[in-house]
Amino acid sequence: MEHWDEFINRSSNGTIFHTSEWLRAAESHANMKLLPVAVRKGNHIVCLLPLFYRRKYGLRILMSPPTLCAIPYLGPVFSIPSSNRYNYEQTYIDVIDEIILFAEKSIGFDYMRIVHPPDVIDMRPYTWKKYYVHPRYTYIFDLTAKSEELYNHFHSTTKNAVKKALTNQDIVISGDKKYAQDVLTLVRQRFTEKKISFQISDGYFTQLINSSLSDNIESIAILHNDRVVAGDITLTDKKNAYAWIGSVSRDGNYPGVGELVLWEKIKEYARRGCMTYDIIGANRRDIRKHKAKYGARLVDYFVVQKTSMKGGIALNLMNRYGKVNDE
Amino acid sequence: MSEYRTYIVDEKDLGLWDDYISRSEGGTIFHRLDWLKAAADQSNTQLIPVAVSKGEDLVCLMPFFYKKKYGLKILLSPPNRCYVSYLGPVMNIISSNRYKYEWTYISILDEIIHFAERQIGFDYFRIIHTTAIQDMRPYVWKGYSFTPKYTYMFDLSGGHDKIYSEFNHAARKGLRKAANNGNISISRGQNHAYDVLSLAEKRSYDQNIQFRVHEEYFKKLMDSSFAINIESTAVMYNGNVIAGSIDLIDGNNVYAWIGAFNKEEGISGVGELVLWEKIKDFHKRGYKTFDIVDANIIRLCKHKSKYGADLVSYFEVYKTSLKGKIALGLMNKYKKRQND
Repeated sequence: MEHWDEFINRSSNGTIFHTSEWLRAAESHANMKLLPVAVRKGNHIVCLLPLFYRRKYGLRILMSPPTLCAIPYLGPVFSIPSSNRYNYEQTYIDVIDEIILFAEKSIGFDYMRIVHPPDVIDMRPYTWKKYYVHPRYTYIFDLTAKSEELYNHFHSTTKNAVKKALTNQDIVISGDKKYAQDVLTLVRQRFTEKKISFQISDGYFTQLINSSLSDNIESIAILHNDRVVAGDITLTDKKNAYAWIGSVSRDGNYPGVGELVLWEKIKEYARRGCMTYDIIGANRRDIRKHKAKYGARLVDYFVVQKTSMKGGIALNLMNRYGKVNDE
Repeated sequence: MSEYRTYIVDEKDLGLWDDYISRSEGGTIFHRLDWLKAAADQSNTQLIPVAVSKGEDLVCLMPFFYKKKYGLKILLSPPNRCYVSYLGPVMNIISSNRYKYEWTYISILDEIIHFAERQIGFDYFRIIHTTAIQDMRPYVWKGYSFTPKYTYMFDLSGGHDKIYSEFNHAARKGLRKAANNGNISISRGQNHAYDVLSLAEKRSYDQNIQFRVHEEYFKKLMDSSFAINIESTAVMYNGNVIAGSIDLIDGNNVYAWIGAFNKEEGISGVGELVLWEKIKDFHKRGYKTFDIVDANIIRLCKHKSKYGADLVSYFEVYKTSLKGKIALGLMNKYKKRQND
């Protein structure tokens, strides 16, 4: 694992979720075994893939990312040295073929699922091996555009909300990390209200915030009388920012604070030279309705799945009895 | 009440179909009425031309093809055996605001799904979308299944030298070999379209692949209003066509529709030469993209990827009723047994 992070950092599609510290935290939180897989071509490592393995109800489950860790994407990370598209594509296909072979023959599974990051779009090696591939979506701001241009894409109700929040003299915006835990509590409360299971335990969060990734985990909070009424925790890696978790308090009336948080972050990350800001998730109708009003670019990414016959039967039964939590 | 209205277009209003298709972003030559009618005849299906209006504005056209087979209601776009790569909905949403655009787009697909499920009904449903339709969420929310599909597309706006720089070593070598062969010549236009078709048919037969373009279907297309959009390129050797392709010109885009070469002649590089000549010509004539159609089979992918074109995705969406699933399962089993 010594050179893992170095590879992730110089690869074309490595994310903060691929770093060894995040993977270790996910391993203990998800109660799965991390299998860090590498693919070599000659003397060069061309791909790293963090797989997570566990046995449950007699089923061998292989995932990347594991469930219940609030990791939106994981899967293979590439560094394919080629200036020629043909060579790149052939190597890419060979690498995925290797991964599939390794997963099927060397590890073995009854259920496998990989959620790829948005930059990995060529799913043909999986479809050729009869994997089920389906698209998912997220909204990404292109921060190389001027902030005003991004603001122009906001829906009129969003613009009004930002204006309203900006004129509210009783609220204060703070980027102090000491409020991160409060933001987490606020989000947990909101999930409980909505009867959705919340995936981030205090232990997992503490492990991440105390790791070397600490500088890449940032919080922004809106305070009213020193109480956090809205906030967000954002992750940064290389030139990208990810809106990881966030919420607005429903106790009291703070119109536009959610919109204000987002607008402040767009300006801040653009100022700091980030290229993209991913507001993660556009897959549920209710979430889409809310996020679409910011007018960010819709980007697709792919989920790949395969089950053995045993895995298929078990999954159907678990689905029937509500024991599968896919989010 | 919904502000959208979804309906089957009256025969008397079909005159406006092509006009709408030509001014829509995702409209292709396959969406043109003459092509749809030829495809319906060829596939022995019924064309159901569906429209979606928002208030007074027409916002989407959707050509469905319907047939009943073995008691199953089958709803397709495109139909099978027509060599139509993409079809599905064509939209013309006028909005500079992304939120409004997305809202309208989702509402239209919701309308189409509702119409297909409630007004037409099906046991098996399949749409292969154009590369312009990428947001599949309305289908996801209704429990439809997917296969992402791929094609290779040349961006002609950058010039042919830039395209050549992405050709791999084997493609360049093949091209040089054919270009230096003094016994071969290139013929463009429509003169050799039927020869190319025969060559493609023979090649498919040799490879044990079912050839889907019947001469009658092709003749119907060649006699239609867009015959001028169908071009052929043939490589001649001793007065015979030894390789060639048929391309479709469609606004700013070109599709490589049918292509073949005579392997028995043993002349290398003719496939590369045909493609290169076309790239140069289409670039010169100002077209923006050249789609070499289909990168979904391993064999095709290996062959086509050597030209280094952009890989572009599109989506096949399908759904089956329980009855459809049982019937499909039985058919697949029967086919497998026959192949064994």
